[in-house]
Amino acid sequence: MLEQLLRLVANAKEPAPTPELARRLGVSVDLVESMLEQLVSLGYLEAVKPGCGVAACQGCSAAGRCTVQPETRLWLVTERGRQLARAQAPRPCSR
Amino acid sequence: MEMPSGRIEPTQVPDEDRRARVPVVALAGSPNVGKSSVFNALTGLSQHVGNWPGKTVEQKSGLSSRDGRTLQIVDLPGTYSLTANSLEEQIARDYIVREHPDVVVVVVNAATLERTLYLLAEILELSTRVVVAVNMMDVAASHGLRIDVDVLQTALGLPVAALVAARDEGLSELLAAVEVVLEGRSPHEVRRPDLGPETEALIARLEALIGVETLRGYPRRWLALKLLEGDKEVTALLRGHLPDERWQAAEAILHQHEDAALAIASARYEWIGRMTRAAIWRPRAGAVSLTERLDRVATHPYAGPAVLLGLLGVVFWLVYRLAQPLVGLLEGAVGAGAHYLRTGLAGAPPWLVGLLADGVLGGVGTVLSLLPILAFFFAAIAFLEDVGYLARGAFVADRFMHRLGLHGKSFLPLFLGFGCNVPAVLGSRILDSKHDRLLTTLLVPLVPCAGRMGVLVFISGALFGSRGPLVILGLLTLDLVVIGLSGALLHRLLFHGESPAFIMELPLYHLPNWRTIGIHTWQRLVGFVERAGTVILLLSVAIWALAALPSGAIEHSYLATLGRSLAPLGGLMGLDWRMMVTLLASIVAKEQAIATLAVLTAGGESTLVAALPGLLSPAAGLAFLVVQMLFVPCVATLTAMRQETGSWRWTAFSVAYLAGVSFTLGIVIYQAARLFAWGV
Repeated sequence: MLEQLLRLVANAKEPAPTPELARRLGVSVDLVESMLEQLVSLGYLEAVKPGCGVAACQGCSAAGRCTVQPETRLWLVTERGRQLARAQAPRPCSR
Repeated sequence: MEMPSGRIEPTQVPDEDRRARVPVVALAGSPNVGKSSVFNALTGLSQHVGNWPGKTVEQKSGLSSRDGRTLQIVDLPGTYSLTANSLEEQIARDYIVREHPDVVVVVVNAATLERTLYLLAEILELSTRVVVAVNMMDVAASHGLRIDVDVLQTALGLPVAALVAARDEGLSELLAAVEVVLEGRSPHEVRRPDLGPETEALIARLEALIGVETLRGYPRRWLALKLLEGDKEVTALLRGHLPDERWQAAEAILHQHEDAALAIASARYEWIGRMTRAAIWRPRAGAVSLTERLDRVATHPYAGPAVLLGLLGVVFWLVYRLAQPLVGLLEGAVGAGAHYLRTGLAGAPPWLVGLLADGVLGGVGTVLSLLPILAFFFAAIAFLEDVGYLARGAFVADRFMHRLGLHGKSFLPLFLGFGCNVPAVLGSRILDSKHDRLLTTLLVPLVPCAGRMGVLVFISGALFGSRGPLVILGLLTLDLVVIGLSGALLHRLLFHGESPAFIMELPLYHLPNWRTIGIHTWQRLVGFVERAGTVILLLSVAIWALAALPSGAIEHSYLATLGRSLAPLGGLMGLDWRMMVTLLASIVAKEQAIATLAVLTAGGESTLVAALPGLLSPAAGLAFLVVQMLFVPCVATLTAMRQETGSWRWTAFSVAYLAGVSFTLGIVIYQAARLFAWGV
């Protein structure tokens, strides 16, 4: 199931929201998000959190003006994930 | 097809030993499943709090005495998995492996059942003396979910109890389930995740290399499994324990099967999917939830942008309707204040009167009249953010950007730009590639910050009255097109590379929290007022001085001389020297445009709102708004761009590009209006 999800992410032609992936996999959004987090911990995806992603706001000269931030997360495929997804017949146990 | 129980049973302890002491029940679970509530409900006041031996993590245990049965309850640290990524995870698994609790109660959250069952999948590798406590059933019900405990019990082959621990509901059922395990009366066969023949073969090969039955209490099969999963502690343990040749053989297997961890995790998720498929009942499964229904429109490739523009239209219409009367009142107050100042200081030197009435009060006071516009604008954005729409708007806008070649991550810093361009430029650091960072940095100034938006709303309101919201909506659409085309152009001409797509989380829609919206709005306004009292004040005084020197007549001032040098360019857009000076002054801070205009039109009886139609024809006004929206950013943003790009050359390129784009579009708009004899 994770391989299928990884292929969907890696082969996506344009941005997709998590509910769309859930619909395509036939599972809940909650499970998709859990699987995306798992793929991040395994190094196949990268998670980007909202904000500037630079450092803690404390000590940042622009913190007071940093006002508009959507509460959301992004996931992008890493090179490792792309390599695995490119494989013609993905066989996770044999590389 | 699940693996039957019986492969390993590391927690098997002779029954006579179990009967001789108080049975130990370990509570395991992920964070936010209400595990502490279960623990408190079971133990009441009979609790002991200390630290885990040799660790700084809190250990809680207590006695539960009900129906003549006493149990020792041990609360394990909250963990998402049993891989030793954290101290908590290490403590939890070590306790299950080494202390052999009689029963492990895995607490899961009914509202996020699938997510929290992953831990159960891992625990079943260590022990099958498990009870599943499905807590927070009330929360799940409020989300429209119903968990069929009987179906889940049959699917898992484990006793399952439904709980609302916060209300002490379901505790008797939980203890009865614990009793079933203690007495070995479970009627079902435990179903664990089937890892598949390839993974099982790898585990068998590694087990053969490990040799011993257990190592530091860890079962051999589990060690092999964790080795495949890349567990650092187990890897270090086996590297130290195994003879060199056997460790090298194990390493070779791991190297050849680097993706085995993916297969193992995948098998667990497939197991979760199978276990819960029939157990989670969604009353609205046939129908479509409200969020899904709204998202079908809000994120649709064609309807989504229309919704975004429509909502922005409503926002600006409300801002105009609600804020403009207040702006008029504030402007009137500034005018009256200046009048009283002039009367009160009748005997003072004229320059002092001019400085205070026109420079300070005229400049800073007029800028402060932007407050109502910004207050409603910030409140509207905070509202859209709070109800969950902002993420959809960002998604729709970014899909458009992606088609033009922008990197998926670019949208995060670009979105920050609506508040202020400075953090947006700093935020480009989240992009890994130097080219992506540079491209994003170059595009950020095209996003109109709150200061720019305030100026645009103020001037369009003064010039176009009730058609102001439409003008602003048109400007924003043009802005989006310019950002998109600039991105595509710069991407293709200067940079090359892939633009990977991304997956985006969309939060559930929910009712607004007015307190949160109020706090956000207030914090943003305070920042604006602080700027008005510092940067804007100093520059307003400087502009006033340049407009008064050397003779006191503005038409012969240094500022007029500077402005007239730009008059040929301004003439192409219908802008006189005062408007060109206003544009230049906005490089210090975007709100300064209003302060500068106020200083340059001061002295008369009318307010700036009333004076603007005399200064700008509708066509020239439209050209000015476009230039103001796309012009060179403020000094603070330019400084950040220099810092982030590390290059004066790219900073200068940005200035030249933005000046070129803004003036070209300003000229095109004004000349087109002249051609059609509109508003000239």
